Amino acid sequence: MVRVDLFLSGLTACIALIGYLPLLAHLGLFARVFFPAALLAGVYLYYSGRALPGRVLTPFSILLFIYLASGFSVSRLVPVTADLLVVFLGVRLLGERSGRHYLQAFALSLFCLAASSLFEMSALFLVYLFALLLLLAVALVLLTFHAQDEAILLTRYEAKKVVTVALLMPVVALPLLLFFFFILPRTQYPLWNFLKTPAEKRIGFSDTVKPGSAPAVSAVKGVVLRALSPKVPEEKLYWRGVVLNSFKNDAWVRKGVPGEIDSVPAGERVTQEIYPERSQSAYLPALNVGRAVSGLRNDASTDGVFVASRPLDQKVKYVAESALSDVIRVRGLDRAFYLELPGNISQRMRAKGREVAQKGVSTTQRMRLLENFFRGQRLTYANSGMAVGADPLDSFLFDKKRGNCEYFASSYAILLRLAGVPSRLVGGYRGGIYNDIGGYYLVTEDMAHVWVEAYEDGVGWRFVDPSAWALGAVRGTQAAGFAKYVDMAGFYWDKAVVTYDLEKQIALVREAGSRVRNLRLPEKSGKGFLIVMLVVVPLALVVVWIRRRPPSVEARLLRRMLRVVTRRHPGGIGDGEGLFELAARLDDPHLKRFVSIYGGAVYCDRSLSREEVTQLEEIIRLASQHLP
Amino acid sequence: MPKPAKVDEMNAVLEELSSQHLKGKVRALRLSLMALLTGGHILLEDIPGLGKTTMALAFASALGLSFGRVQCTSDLLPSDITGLSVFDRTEGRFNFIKGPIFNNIVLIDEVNRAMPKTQSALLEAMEERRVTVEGVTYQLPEPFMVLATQNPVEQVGTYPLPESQMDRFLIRTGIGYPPEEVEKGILRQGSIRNEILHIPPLLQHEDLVEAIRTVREQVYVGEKVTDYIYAIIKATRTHPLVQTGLSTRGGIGMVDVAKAAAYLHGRDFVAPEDVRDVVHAVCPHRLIFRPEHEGVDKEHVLNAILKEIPLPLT
Repeated sequence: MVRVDLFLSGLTACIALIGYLPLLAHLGLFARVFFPAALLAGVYLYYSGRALPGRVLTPFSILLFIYLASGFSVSRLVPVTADLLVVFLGVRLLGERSGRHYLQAFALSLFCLAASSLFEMSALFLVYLFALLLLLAVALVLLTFHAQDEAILLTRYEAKKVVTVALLMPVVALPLLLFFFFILPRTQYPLWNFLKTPAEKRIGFSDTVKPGSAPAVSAVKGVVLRALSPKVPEEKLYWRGVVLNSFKNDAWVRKGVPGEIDSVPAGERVTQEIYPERSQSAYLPALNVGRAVSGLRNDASTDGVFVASRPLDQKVKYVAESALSDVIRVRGLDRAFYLELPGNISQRMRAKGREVAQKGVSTTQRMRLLENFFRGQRLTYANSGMAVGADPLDSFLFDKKRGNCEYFASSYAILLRLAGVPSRLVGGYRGGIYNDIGGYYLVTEDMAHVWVEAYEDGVGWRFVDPSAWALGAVRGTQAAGFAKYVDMAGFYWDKAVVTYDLEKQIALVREAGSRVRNLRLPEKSGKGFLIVMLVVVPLALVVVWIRRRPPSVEARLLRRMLRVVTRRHPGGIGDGEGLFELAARLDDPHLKRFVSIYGGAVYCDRSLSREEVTQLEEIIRLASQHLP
Repeated sequence: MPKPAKVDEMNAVLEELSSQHLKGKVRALRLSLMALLTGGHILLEDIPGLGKTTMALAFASALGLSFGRVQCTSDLLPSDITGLSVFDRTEGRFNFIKGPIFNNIVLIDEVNRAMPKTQSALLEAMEERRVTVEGVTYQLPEPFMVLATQNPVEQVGTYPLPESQMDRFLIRTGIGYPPEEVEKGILRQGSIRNEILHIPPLLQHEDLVEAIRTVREQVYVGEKVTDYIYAIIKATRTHPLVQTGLSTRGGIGMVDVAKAAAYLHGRDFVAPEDVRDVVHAVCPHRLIFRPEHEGVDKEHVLNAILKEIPLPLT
């Protein structure tokens, strides 16, 4: 036997959880803690057979409301509302378990899930939504049993049947859902974005590099981009984002690129289809070295940097074409520009620079000398315990010997300039997790990286990654099996759902239209015939349907009854016989009752009343169930 | 659905008569009762010796009504039907002696043997339900029904009723031979004329009056049924074989008889099949065919017409 109230309580707890979980990341601390506590308390109360009475809960709710609403402001409209929803959902779990309260809990859960879409639109939302739809359907059907008798017991078979029938409802509704999905316009933004501009703090990639501003950086593992691309050798996996070529307040920044003419770099060509995540930055990363970016309006610079015309604050995609090359050939280089130095350079670094300049004759020799120096210093790659203070680079090179890529690249580039070699910093990403199933690279925020390009006369800009000389080399981690699938689902969700927009819908319609126009038919007469058929056949079907369908309730009931009578008395219905006559001849009690009610209305110039319709339907049901 | 008043009593009389005394005459009996209930008159057209008189007698006594009979001959005078004033010498004035028409049910045997003058006097009394003799008007009793018979075969020395006068009869029907078993039984038993004279009344007079009122006032004729009746009337008027179709009086008669039929079925509204069932009793004698189609069976034509018009079911 299955206890319906137990079953229903369990379902309600699941439904409430589905309301709470998607909002979890966006909730205030209080709401985040309050809900699980309330859920546990609710379970305890249920098993001890008690419930908090309304006279306790109502003042409690009012107090909670006042407490949470005190944090209200226009900019925090949605977060406060989300907190309130979750807290009230929790309160609802504590109260007595009546049909009304269950329904309130269901509604609140739905609202919570809806509220989560204000913050974020991920593929998980769909999972939650489907789960909620299924559970709600079952819970609502069970609730009808519960409303009849709170202590009702169902046998296992009955319970199975009830659940099956209840599940049929959402399943049947699915095609409609899909239909609306394809025709309705949608937004790319989480709705809350309309009210606030995304103020995400990008810790990884940035267009200023100033080592020494903090002793430690913690990189979040947020996704930066996904790039559909063939697999590329690990050592070539550098995503070029921005080139920093000058200084401002001792920090590397990007200034206008002096006129230089680059030629097409040699190397293996790779085309990538890139889906960047939303961000405030407008740089379009591509595999080193990007040659062209299409599919999105952008400005290309001669140093291989592509800037979108507007920030990437909505989901877009672009196609980048890259040549996997270590060298960028240019002509007409402004040497003085790339030899500028920051104001503040330590004596030890200046001395090192001079030393290298004297020892090495050619650029290659100077670079070799510097590499040896870096290796000789036994520097460690680390994200914490890094040098800070007045001259962090000096401290990094000679004292602390710990730092991240910014320290390596920055100090190397400055030393190059001190040694008379033009150099610049390149910011981007290093590595990428290749998803074999989806065939794309996943690049996350923690892969942000800075490396150096040094100019060698007659060769061009040469790629150097000083971080590689550290004791512990950086390696990308491979995603575990399951995470890979989850990420891929999210990727396709973005690709198929979020970036699926009205333009695509219109394009789809256009394409269909043009295909119909271009439909070639063997003969002219055949085409005319086909068009006529296309118009006439549906029209004819509609006409037939309208004509066959009895116009009134009375006529439909009579037709149903006569069909039943035909089954009850095969061959019993003659032509042109009156109803009373037929009933008397067949001596059918159901038909007799039917015609006396039916005739009493139809032949007395009035419509059937609602009760009469119910009675007649009941008669038809009985007659069809009990065949003689 | 509640049954109309007194319908069970009426059906009980019919049942009793047709099962006990007048076997095999259900249809004629039923039509007679319908005519009585609607205040119309009935013309029984059949060869002699099939029990027309017996039926009339039994009908009157079972309903507890007075019965009068006129045997028509070519020298029958109007006053033989209506009655006449006779001088009473003792009182020194004329006394009006009522004729056989002053009864509830009047059997006019072989109505086509009476001369036209007498026929028209009779028909006038039927229509007006009163008799004027020597300037004094006498009201006929209620209910009042004339049950006329005529022999369709014998034509010598008869004055066939003109169509306009046929129209006065609400119903014309035959009696037909009884079914074989029934007839054998009658042959064994012999005539039951004497028995019939002693049938006790099966019905109170007030019940009959109430039934008549119910039929007139309580039975509803809906729009759909009216449309159906009109369709039949119209079809008879436009039929190629027919010269003159149903008159409006014929239509009214059809509605009245259908109401009586619905009443006897225990309904307070008329169904289309009620109408269709009475068409053969009400219509044929009102149709006048074109001279070149005189010989065509009227029943067949009516059947064809009825087949063309579907019963309104919805």
